[in-house]
Amino acid sequence: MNKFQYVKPATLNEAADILYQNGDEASILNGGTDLLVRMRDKMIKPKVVVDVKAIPELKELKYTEEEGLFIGAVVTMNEIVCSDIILEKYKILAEAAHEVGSYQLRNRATMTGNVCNASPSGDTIAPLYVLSANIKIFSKEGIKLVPIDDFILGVRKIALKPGEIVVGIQIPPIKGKNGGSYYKHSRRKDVDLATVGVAAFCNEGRWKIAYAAVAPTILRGYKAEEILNKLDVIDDTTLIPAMDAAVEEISPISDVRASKEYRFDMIRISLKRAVLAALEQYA
Amino acid sequence: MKHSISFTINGEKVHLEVEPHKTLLNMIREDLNLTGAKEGCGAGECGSCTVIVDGKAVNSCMMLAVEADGKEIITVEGLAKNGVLDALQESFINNAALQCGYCTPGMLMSAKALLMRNPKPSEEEIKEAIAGNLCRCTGYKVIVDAIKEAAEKNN
Repeated sequence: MNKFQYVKPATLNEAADILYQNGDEASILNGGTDLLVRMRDKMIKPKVVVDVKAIPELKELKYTEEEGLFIGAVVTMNEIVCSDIILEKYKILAEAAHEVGSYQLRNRATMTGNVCNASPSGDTIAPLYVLSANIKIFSKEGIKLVPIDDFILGVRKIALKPGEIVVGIQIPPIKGKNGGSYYKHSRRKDVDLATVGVAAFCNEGRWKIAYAAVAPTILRGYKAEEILNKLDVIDDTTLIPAMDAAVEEISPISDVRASKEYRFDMIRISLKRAVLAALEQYA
Repeated sequence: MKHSISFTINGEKVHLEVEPHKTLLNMIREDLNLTGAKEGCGAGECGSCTVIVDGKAVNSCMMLAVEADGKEIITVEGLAKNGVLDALQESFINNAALQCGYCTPGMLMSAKALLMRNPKPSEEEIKEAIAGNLCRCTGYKVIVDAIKEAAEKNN
Protein backbone atom coordinates (compact mmCIF):
# COMPACT_ATOMS: atom_id res chain seq x y z
CA MET A 1 0.00 0.00 0.00
CA ASN A 2 1.31 3.47 -0.88
CA LYS A 3 1.85 6.03 1.87
CA PHE A 4 -0.93 8.49 2.63
CA GLN A 5 -2.06 10.98 5.22
CA TYR A 6 -4.83 9.70 7.55
CA VAL A 7 -7.39 12.14 8.92
CA LYS A 8 -10.44 11.51 11.06
CA PRO A 9 -12.73 14.56 11.04
CA ALA A 10 -15.22 14.91 13.90
CA THR A 11 -17.83 16.94 12.00
CA LEU A 12 -19.44 17.08 8.55
CA ASN A 13 -18.08 20.62 7.99
CA GLU A 14 -14.55 19.51 8.75
CA ALA A 15 -14.89 16.48 6.44
CA ALA A 16 -16.32 18.64 3.62
CA ASP A 17 -13.39 21.06 3.90
CA ILE A 18 -10.80 18.28 3.71
CA LEU A 19 -12.58 16.64 0.77
CA TYR A 20 -12.90 19.96 -1.07
CA GLN A 21 -9.24 20.92 -0.54
CA ASN A 22 -7.92 17.55 -1.68
CA GLY A 23 -10.35 16.77 -4.53
CA ASP A 24 -9.44 13.61 -6.44
CA GLU A 25 -6.48 12.93 -4.15
CA ALA A 26 -8.75 12.18 -1.20
CA SER A 27 -10.62 8.92 -0.59
CA ILE A 28 -13.29 8.37 2.02
CA LEU A 29 -12.61 5.45 4.38
CA ASN A 30 -15.80 3.88 5.71
CA GLY A 31 -15.76 0.11 6.33
CA GLY A 32 -12.67 -0.17 4.14
CA THR A 33 -13.63 -3.52 2.64
CA ASP A 34 -13.42 -2.20 -0.93
CA LEU A 35 -11.08 0.78 -0.45
CA LEU A 36 -8.23 -1.04 1.30
CA VAL A 37 -8.26 -3.89 -1.23
CA ARG A 38 -8.07 -1.41 -4.11
CA MET A 39 -5.29 0.53 -2.36
CA ARG A 40 -3.35 -2.64 -1.67
CA ASP A 41 -3.59 -3.62 -5.35
CA LYS A 42 -2.50 -0.03 -6.22
CA MET A 43 -5.59 0.50 -8.35
CA ILE A 44 -6.01 3.75 -6.43
CA LYS A 45 -3.36 5.81 -4.67
CA PRO A 46 -5.03 8.46 -2.54
CA LYS A 47 -2.78 11.01 -0.84
CA VAL A 48 -5.33 11.63 1.90
CA VAL A 49 -7.62 9.01 3.47
CA VAL A 50 -10.59 10.54 5.28
CA ASP A 51 -12.01 8.22 7.96
CA VAL A 52 -15.63 9.31 8.43
CA LYS A 53 -16.51 6.97 11.30
CA ALA A 54 -16.31 9.69 13.99
CA ILE A 55 -19.03 11.90 12.46
CA PRO A 56 -22.16 11.59 14.64
CA GLU A 57 -24.79 12.12 11.86
CA LEU A 58 -23.39 9.15 9.94
CA LYS A 59 -24.03 6.72 12.79
CA GLU A 60 -27.83 7.15 12.90
CA LEU A 61 -30.31 4.41 12.07
CA LYS A 62 -33.85 5.69 12.53
CA TYR A 63 -37.40 5.35 11.30
CA THR A 64 -40.26 7.84 11.37
CA GLU A 65 -43.77 7.47 9.90
CA GLU A 66 -43.35 10.74 7.95
CA GLU A 67 -39.86 10.35 6.49
CA GLY A 68 -39.37 6.59 6.52
CA LEU A 69 -36.03 4.93 7.13
CA PHE A 70 -32.64 6.62 7.40
CA ILE A 71 -29.54 4.42 7.35
CA GLY A 72 -26.45 6.45 8.30
CA ALA A 73 -23.38 6.02 6.11
CA VAL A 74 -21.32 4.12 8.70
CA VAL A 75 -24.06 1.70 9.81
CA THR A 76 -22.68 -1.77 9.06
CA MET A 77 -24.32 -4.59 7.10
CA ASN A 78 -24.61 -6.71 10.26
CA GLU A 79 -26.36 -3.85 12.08
CA ILE A 80 -28.84 -3.74 9.17
CA VAL A 81 -29.32 -7.53 9.18
CA CYS A 82 -30.15 -7.42 12.91
CA SER A 83 -32.24 -4.20 12.98
CA ASP A 84 -35.79 -4.87 14.25
CA ILE A 85 -37.30 -1.96 12.32
CA ILE A 86 -35.66 -3.05 9.05
CA LEU A 87 -36.73 -6.68 9.57
CA GLU A 88 -40.28 -5.50 10.22
CA LYS A 89 -40.71 -2.87 7.51
CA TYR A 90 -37.93 -3.30 4.92
CA LYS A 91 -37.07 -7.00 5.08
CA ILE A 92 -35.67 -6.99 1.53
CA LEU A 93 -32.82 -4.74 2.76
CA ALA A 94 -31.87 -7.09 5.60
CA GLU A 95 -32.00 -9.96 3.12
CA ALA A 96 -29.70 -8.15 0.67
CA ALA A 97 -27.28 -6.97 3.38
CA HIS A 98 -26.99 -10.60 4.49
CA GLU A 99 -25.89 -11.59 0.98
CA VAL A 100 -22.73 -9.44 1.16
CA GLY A 101 -19.38 -11.22 1.73
CA SER A 102 -18.88 -13.08 4.99
CA TYR A 103 -19.88 -12.53 8.62
CA GLN A 104 -16.64 -10.76 9.56
CA LEU A 105 -16.79 -8.64 6.41
CA ARG A 106 -20.36 -7.57 7.27
CA ASN A 107 -19.05 -6.32 10.63
CA ARG A 108 -17.15 -3.64 8.69
CA ALA A 109 -18.90 -3.20 5.32
CA THR A 110 -21.67 -0.58 5.05
CA MET A 111 -24.65 -0.12 2.74
CA THR A 112 -23.51 3.40 1.82
CA GLY A 113 -20.10 1.97 0.96
CA ASN A 114 -21.76 -0.64 -1.25
CA VAL A 115 -23.69 2.12 -3.07
CA CYS A 116 -20.67 4.45 -3.44
CA ASN A 117 -18.53 1.60 -4.75
CA ALA A 118 -21.16 1.41 -7.55
CA SER A 119 -20.33 -2.12 -8.67
CA PRO A 120 -22.87 -3.55 -11.15
CA SER A 121 -23.17 -6.56 -8.82
CA GLY A 122 -23.52 -4.62 -5.55
CA ASP A 123 -26.02 -6.72 -3.58
CA THR A 124 -27.81 -3.94 -1.72
CA ILE A 125 -28.17 -1.55 -4.67
CA ALA A 126 -30.96 -3.31 -6.61
CA PRO A 127 -33.19 -3.46 -3.50
CA LEU A 128 -32.56 0.26 -2.95
CA TYR A 129 -33.73 0.92 -6.55
CA VAL A 130 -37.06 -0.83 -5.99
CA LEU A 131 -37.58 0.98 -2.67
CA SER A 132 -37.01 4.37 -4.43
CA ALA A 133 -34.15 5.23 -2.08
CA ASN A 134 -32.53 8.66 -2.03
CA ILE A 135 -28.90 9.36 -1.26
CA LYS A 136 -28.53 12.12 1.35
CA ILE A 137 -25.53 14.30 0.53
CA PHE A 138 -23.90 17.01 2.65
CA SER A 139 -21.83 19.88 1.32
CA LYS A 140 -21.11 23.40 2.56
CA GLU A 141 -24.12 24.53 0.46
CA GLY A 142 -26.44 22.32 2.48
CA ILE A 143 -28.12 18.93 2.38
CA LYS A 144 -29.59 17.45 -0.80
CA LEU A 145 -31.40 14.23 -1.64
CA VAL A 146 -30.51 12.50 -4.91
CA PRO A 147 -32.55 9.51 -6.22
CA ILE A 148 -30.31 6.45 -6.31
CA ASP A 149 -30.72 5.97 -10.07
CA ASP A 150 -29.39 9.51 -10.63
CA PHE A 151 -26.59 8.99 -8.10
CA ILE A 152 -25.10 5.90 -9.76
CA LEU A 153 -23.70 6.88 -13.16
CA GLY A 154 -21.74 3.81 -14.26
CA VAL A 155 -19.22 1.21 -13.10
CA ARG A 156 -17.62 2.81 -10.01
CA LYS A 157 -18.97 6.21 -11.10
CA ILE A 158 -21.18 8.22 -8.78
CA ALA A 159 -22.53 11.77 -8.77
CA LEU A 160 -20.43 13.01 -5.84
CA LYS A 161 -18.44 16.21 -6.31
CA PRO A 162 -15.34 17.26 -4.32
CA GLY A 163 -16.46 18.61 -0.98
CA GLU A 164 -19.57 16.42 -0.93
CA ILE A 165 -20.07 13.55 1.49
CA VAL A 166 -22.85 10.96 1.70
CA VAL A 167 -24.57 11.21 5.08
CA GLY A 168 -26.68 8.13 4.52
CA ILE A 169 -29.57 6.54 2.65
CA GLN A 170 -33.15 7.78 2.99
CA ILE A 171 -35.94 5.37 2.10
CA PRO A 172 -39.55 6.57 1.87
CA PRO A 173 -42.18 5.10 4.19
CA ILE A 174 -44.24 2.29 2.66
CA LYS A 175 -48.02 2.58 2.97
CA GLY A 176 -50.33 -0.37 2.45
CA LYS A 177 -49.77 -4.01 1.59
CA ASN A 178 -46.26 -4.77 0.39
CA GLY A 179 -43.63 -7.44 0.02
CA GLY A 180 -40.18 -7.64 -1.48
CA SER A 181 -37.31 -10.00 -2.06
CA TYR A 182 -33.78 -10.03 -3.47
CA TYR A 183 -32.67 -13.14 -5.29
CA LYS A 184 -28.93 -13.54 -5.78
CA HIS A 185 -27.70 -16.17 -8.19
CA SER A 186 -24.04 -16.91 -7.44
CA ARG A 187 -21.51 -19.73 -7.76
CA ARG A 188 -21.31 -20.31 -4.02
CA LYS A 189 -23.50 -19.31 -1.11
CA ASP A 190 -21.11 -16.98 0.71
CA VAL A 191 -18.19 -14.71 -0.15
CA ASP A 192 -19.15 -14.45 -3.82
CA LEU A 193 -20.41 -11.72 -6.12
CA ALA A 194 -23.76 -12.03 -7.84
CA THR A 195 -23.69 -13.67 -11.27
CA VAL A 196 -27.20 -12.29 -11.68
CA GLY A 197 -29.41 -10.56 -9.11
CA VAL A 198 -33.08 -9.54 -9.12
CA ALA A 199 -34.89 -7.33 -6.61
CA ALA A 200 -38.69 -7.51 -6.69
CA PHE A 201 -41.02 -5.32 -4.67
CA CYS A 202 -44.81 -5.07 -4.77
CA ASN A 203 -46.80 -2.32 -3.06
CA GLU A 204 -50.61 -2.35 -3.37
CA GLY A 205 -50.41 -4.44 -6.54
CA ARG A 206 -47.79 -2.23 -8.23
CA TRP A 207 -44.47 -3.94 -8.98
CA LYS A 208 -40.95 -2.60 -9.08
CA ILE A 209 -38.16 -4.77 -10.45
CA ALA A 210 -34.40 -4.16 -10.61
CA TYR A 211 -31.67 -6.31 -12.18
CA ALA A 212 -28.09 -6.59 -10.88
CA ALA A 213 -24.87 -7.72 -12.62
CA VAL A 214 -26.39 -7.61 -16.11
CA ALA A 215 -25.39 -4.06 -17.24
CA PRO A 216 -22.90 -1.31 -16.23
CA THR A 217 -25.40 -0.15 -13.59
CA ILE A 218 -28.38 -1.68 -11.86
CA LEU A 219 -31.34 -1.60 -14.28
CA ARG A 220 -35.02 -1.07 -13.55
CA GLY A 221 -37.18 -3.72 -15.21
CA TYR A 222 -39.88 -1.41 -16.56
CA LYS A 223 -41.25 -3.89 -19.12
CA ALA A 224 -41.44 -6.73 -16.61
CA GLU A 225 -43.14 -4.37 -14.14
CA GLU A 226 -45.80 -3.39 -16.70
CA ILE A 227 -46.61 -7.03 -17.39
CA LEU A 228 -46.71 -7.96 -13.68
CA ASN A 229 -48.96 -5.00 -12.86
CA LYS A 230 -51.63 -6.37 -15.25
CA LEU A 231 -51.61 -9.92 -13.87
CA ASP A 232 -54.53 -11.09 -11.72
CA VAL A 233 -52.88 -14.36 -10.78
CA ILE A 234 -49.11 -14.73 -10.49
CA ASP A 235 -47.74 -18.25 -10.81
CA ASP A 236 -45.13 -20.27 -12.73
CA THR A 237 -47.16 -20.07 -15.97
CA THR A 238 -48.44 -16.49 -15.91
CA LEU A 239 -44.94 -15.26 -15.08
CA ILE A 240 -43.50 -16.41 -18.42
CA PRO A 241 -44.15 -13.13 -20.37
CA ALA A 242 -42.44 -11.11 -17.60
CA MET A 243 -39.49 -13.53 -17.68
CA ASP A 244 -39.26 -13.06 -21.47
CA ALA A 245 -39.36 -9.27 -20.98
CA ALA A 246 -36.47 -9.43 -18.51
CA VAL A 247 -34.27 -11.02 -21.18
CA GLU A 248 -34.99 -8.08 -23.51
CA GLU A 249 -34.21 -5.49 -20.84
CA ILE A 250 -30.67 -6.52 -19.91
CA SER A 251 -27.27 -6.20 -21.63
CA PRO A 252 -24.92 -8.59 -19.82
CA ILE A 253 -21.28 -9.31 -20.63
CA SER A 254 -19.22 -12.47 -20.33
CA ASP A 255 -16.69 -12.39 -17.49
CA VAL A 256 -14.94 -14.67 -14.99
CA ARG A 257 -18.23 -15.50 -13.30
CA ALA A 258 -20.39 -16.42 -16.29
CA SER A 259 -20.98 -16.04 -20.01
CA LYS A 260 -23.56 -13.54 -21.20
CA GLU A 261 -25.66 -16.41 -22.59
CA TYR A 262 -25.79 -17.97 -19.13
CA ARG A 263 -26.84 -14.64 -17.66
CA PHE A 264 -29.65 -14.31 -20.25
CA ASP A 265 -30.93 -17.71 -19.10
CA MET A 266 -30.48 -17.05 -15.40
CA ILE A 267 -32.24 -13.67 -15.42
CA ARG A 268 -35.47 -15.50 -16.27
CA ILE A 269 -35.35 -17.92 -13.37
CA SER A 270 -33.99 -15.25 -11.01
CA LEU A 271 -36.90 -12.94 -11.84
CA LYS A 272 -39.37 -15.76 -11.20
CA ARG A 273 -37.80 -16.68 -7.86
CA ALA A 274 -37.61 -13.05 -6.70
CA VAL A 275 -41.25 -12.35 -7.62
CA LEU A 276 -42.58 -15.53 -5.99
CA ALA A 277 -40.52 -14.85 -2.83
CA ALA A 278 -41.83 -11.25 -2.75
CA LEU A 279 -45.39 -12.60 -2.98
CA GLU A 280 -44.75 -14.82 0.04
CA GLN A 281 -43.86 -11.68 2.01
CA TYR A 282 -46.83 -9.73 0.64
CA ALA A 283 -49.02 -8.62 3.55
CA MET B 1 3.40 11.12 9.77
CA LYS B 2 3.07 8.49 12.48
CA HIS B 3 -0.04 8.38 14.66
CA SER B 4 0.02 7.71 18.36
CA ILE B 5 -2.62 5.12 19.28
CA SER B 6 -3.69 3.28 22.43
CA PHE B 7 -5.67 0.07 22.59
CA THR B 8 -6.07 -3.14 24.56
CA ILE B 9 -4.87 -6.42 23.13
CA ASN B 10 -5.50 -9.72 24.92
CA GLY B 11 -6.16 -7.74 28.10
CA GLU B 12 -2.96 -5.67 27.92
CA LYS B 13 -2.89 -1.93 27.33
CA VAL B 14 -0.62 -0.90 24.49
CA HIS B 15 0.59 2.48 23.17
CA LEU B 16 2.15 2.53 19.73
CA GLU B 17 3.30 4.91 17.01
CA VAL B 18 2.02 3.60 13.65
CA GLU B 19 2.27 4.63 10.01
CA PRO B 20 -1.20 5.24 8.50
CA HIS B 21 -0.64 2.74 5.67
CA LYS B 22 0.02 -0.17 8.02
CA THR B 23 -2.84 -2.66 8.34
CA LEU B 24 -4.05 -3.91 11.71
CA LEU B 25 -2.78 -7.38 10.74
CA ASN B 26 0.74 -6.14 10.02
CA MET B 27 0.83 -4.16 13.26
CA ILE B 28 -0.24 -7.21 15.27
CA ARG B 29 2.34 -9.43 13.58
CA GLU B 30 5.28 -7.07 13.13
CA ASP B 31 5.05 -4.62 16.05
CA LEU B 32 3.54 -6.91 18.68
CA ASN B 33 5.07 -10.21 17.45
CA LEU B 34 1.71 -11.95 17.69
CA THR B 35 1.99 -14.13 14.60
CA GLY B 36 -1.13 -16.26 15.08
CA ALA B 37 -3.26 -14.21 12.68
CA LYS B 38 -2.11 -14.89 9.12
CA GLU B 39 -2.34 -13.16 5.78
CA GLY B 40 -3.93 -15.44 3.21
CA CYS B 41 -5.62 -13.46 0.45
CA GLY B 42 -5.39 -9.89 1.75
CA ALA B 43 -8.82 -9.19 0.29
CA GLY B 44 -11.39 -10.41 2.81
CA GLU B 45 -12.05 -13.77 1.20
CA CYS B 46 -10.11 -16.33 3.26
CA GLY B 47 -10.50 -15.19 6.89
CA SER B 48 -7.08 -16.38 8.08
CA CYS B 49 -6.43 -12.86 9.49
CA THR B 50 -9.63 -12.85 11.60
CA VAL B 51 -9.33 -11.19 15.03
CA ILE B 52 -11.97 -9.87 17.42
CA VAL B 53 -12.33 -6.08 17.70
CA ASP B 54 -14.76 -4.76 20.31
CA GLY B 55 -16.44 -8.17 20.46
CA LYS B 56 -16.81 -8.53 16.70
CA ALA B 57 -14.90 -10.76 14.29
CA VAL B 58 -13.19 -8.70 11.58
CA ASN B 59 -10.65 -9.27 8.82
CA SER B 60 -7.55 -7.55 10.22
CA CYS B 61 -5.99 -7.27 6.76
CA MET B 62 -8.79 -4.89 5.77
CA MET B 63 -8.55 -2.55 8.73
CA LEU B 64 -5.88 0.09 9.25
CA ALA B 65 -3.80 -0.05 12.42
CA VAL B 66 -4.74 3.58 13.21
CA GLU B 67 -8.39 2.50 13.32
CA ALA B 68 -7.56 0.33 16.34
CA ASP B 69 -7.21 3.43 18.52
CA GLY B 70 -9.40 3.00 21.63
CA LYS B 71 -10.45 -0.54 20.69
CA GLU B 72 -10.30 -3.83 22.53
CA ILE B 73 -8.67 -6.57 20.45
CA ILE B 74 -8.46 -10.31 21.01
CA THR B 75 -6.16 -12.51 18.93
CA VAL B 76 -5.72 -16.28 19.04
CA GLU B 77 -2.87 -15.74 21.53
CA GLY B 78 -5.45 -14.33 23.98
CA LEU B 79 -7.66 -17.44 24.03
CA ALA B 80 -5.66 -19.58 26.49
CA LYS B 81 -5.76 -18.27 30.06
CA ASN B 82 -2.90 -19.03 32.52
CA GLY B 83 -1.68 -21.91 30.42
CA VAL B 84 -5.14 -23.47 30.10
CA LEU B 85 -6.52 -23.78 26.58
CA ASP B 86 -9.91 -22.32 25.68
CA ALA B 87 -12.74 -24.87 25.28
CA LEU B 88 -12.64 -24.20 21.52
CA GLN B 89 -8.93 -24.97 21.28
CA GLU B 90 -9.47 -28.21 23.24
CA SER B 91 -12.33 -29.29 21.00
CA PHE B 92 -10.33 -28.49 17.82
CA ILE B 93 -7.64 -30.86 19.11
CA ASN B 94 -10.16 -33.55 20.19
CA ASN B 95 -11.87 -33.47 16.80
CA ALA B 96 -8.66 -33.26 14.76
CA ALA B 97 -10.12 -30.08 13.26
CA LEU B 98 -6.81 -28.92 11.88
CA GLN B 99 -4.13 -30.23 9.60
CA CYS B 100 -1.67 -27.63 8.28
CA GLY B 101 -3.02 -25.10 10.79
CA TYR B 102 -2.86 -22.01 8.59
CA CYS B 103 -6.58 -21.28 8.81
CA THR B 104 -6.93 -22.38 12.44
CA PRO B 105 -6.32 -19.05 14.24
CA GLY B 106 -8.92 -17.40 11.99
CA MET B 107 -11.38 -20.28 12.43
CA LEU B 108 -10.95 -20.11 16.19
CA MET B 109 -11.53 -16.35 16.30
CA SER B 110 -14.66 -16.52 14.10
CA ALA B 111 -15.94 -19.33 16.33
CA LYS B 112 -15.02 -17.46 19.52
CA ALA B 113 -16.87 -14.32 18.36
CA LEU B 114 -19.89 -16.51 17.56
CA LEU B 115 -19.92 -18.13 21.02
CA MET B 116 -19.45 -14.74 22.67
CA ARG B 117 -22.63 -13.39 21.05
CA ASN B 118 -24.53 -16.67 20.89
CA PRO B 119 -23.47 -19.39 23.36
CA LYS B 120 -25.88 -21.95 21.85
CA PRO B 121 -25.56 -21.63 18.07
CA SER B 122 -27.36 -23.93 15.64
CA GLU B 123 -25.39 -25.77 12.97
CA GLU B 124 -26.64 -23.21 10.43
CA GLU B 125 -25.36 -20.35 12.63
CA ILE B 126 -21.98 -22.05 12.98
CA LYS B 127 -21.74 -22.41 9.21
CA GLU B 128 -22.69 -18.76 8.73
CA ALA B 129 -20.04 -17.64 11.22
CA ILE B 130 -17.21 -19.52 9.48
CA ALA B 131 -18.40 -19.04 5.89
CA GLY B 132 -15.68 -16.41 5.50
CA ASN B 133 -12.91 -18.77 6.67
CA LEU B 134 -11.39 -21.04 4.06
CA CYS B 135 -9.79 -24.37 4.95
CA ARG B 136 -7.93 -26.23 2.19
CA CYS B 137 -6.98 -29.43 3.97
CA THR B 138 -9.10 -30.65 6.89
CA GLY B 139 -12.53 -29.97 5.44
CA TYR B 140 -15.27 -28.27 7.31
CA LYS B 141 -17.20 -31.08 8.96
CA VAL B 142 -14.75 -31.69 11.80
CA ILE B 143 -14.42 -27.93 12.34
CA VAL B 144 -18.21 -27.57 12.67
CA ASP B 145 -18.20 -30.60 15.04
CA ALA B 146 -15.47 -29.00 17.14
CA ILE B 147 -17.38 -25.74 17.50
CA LYS B 148 -20.55 -27.67 18.41
CA GLU B 149 -18.66 -29.59 21.08
CA ALA B 150 -17.19 -26.41 22.59
CA ALA B 151 -20.65 -24.83 22.65
CA GLU B 152 -22.06 -27.87 24.44
CA LYS B 153 -19.28 -27.65 27.04
CA ASN B 154 -20.07 -23.97 27.56
CA ASN B 155 -23.61 -24.85 28.47
